[in-house]
Amino acid sequence: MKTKRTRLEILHDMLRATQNAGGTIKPTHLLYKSNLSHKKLEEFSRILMGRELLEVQETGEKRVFVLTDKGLKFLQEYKVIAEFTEAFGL
Amino acid sequence: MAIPIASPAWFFGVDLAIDAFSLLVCLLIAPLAYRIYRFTGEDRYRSLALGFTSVGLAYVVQLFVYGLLYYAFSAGLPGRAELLLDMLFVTSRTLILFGWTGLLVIVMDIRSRPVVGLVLSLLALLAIFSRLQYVVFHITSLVLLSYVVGYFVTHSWSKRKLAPRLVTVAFLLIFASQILFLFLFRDVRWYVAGKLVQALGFLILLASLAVVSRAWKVVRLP
Repeated sequence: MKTKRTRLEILHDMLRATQNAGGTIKPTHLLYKSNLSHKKLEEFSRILMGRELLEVQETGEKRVFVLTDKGLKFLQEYKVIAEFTEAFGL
Repeated sequence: MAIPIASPAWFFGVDLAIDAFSLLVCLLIAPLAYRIYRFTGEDRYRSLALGFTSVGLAYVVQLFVYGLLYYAFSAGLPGRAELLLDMLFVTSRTLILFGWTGLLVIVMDIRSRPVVGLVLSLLALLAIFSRLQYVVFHITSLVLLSYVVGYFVTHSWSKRKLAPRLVTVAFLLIFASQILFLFLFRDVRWYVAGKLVQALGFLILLASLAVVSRAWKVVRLP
């Protein structure tokens, strides 16, 4: 049985989903691509925006999440972070 | 109370080099853990960062104290300097115990700040009383590290990957070094053996970092 995703894995999945969508993604798409509830999506997107890894763009009534340069850099370095986490059992 | 010099004269400097190397490894791990904490906001990364920072600071203090004792005051300490160095020596021991506690907080998943505060207070007291009987310090280190090692053994067994195994072996060696230090009262060669095992432990910890960073050039998290 697959274990529950860690916070780090969820944040990574959200950024990866945004990247796979071409760097811009609608909230509803991000919701199901990263397999989160609405409440959790709000919580984790706030974390990502707070750390400037994701930003929100609003045009009229439309709202989309955009992957930032920092977010892209994080994705590039995620493997190391994941390996470090695993090495120390964090 | 005189600061104990456990090292034989021919080993002066080598033990300081080992402490400096241990400090370097701590300085590599702590910032990386802190950067990940800044991204995830998870307390366990902060605990790891604080733990290794504390151990690193302890080595800085030890290098200063023993550097002075070996080279500047080899003929004897002036009164005030002795008191100051004695306090620094207790500080270094306290910092080491605090460092292991940082790891203990992770492996035992301690979330209560008052509990952590209580543990740290008791450990500071133990460090002070270890001036009377040095084994108190090493036994306390052993107890703390036994939980850490136990966790790493279980974790690496389930993961079956190189990096977790290296971390486990590294902490087993650091744990073993504390056992060797217990026998200082019999012969100073136990100190030499303990220091060499400690060096090997930190070397393997460095190797685990190298494994982690195989696919990575420079870690610069936001």
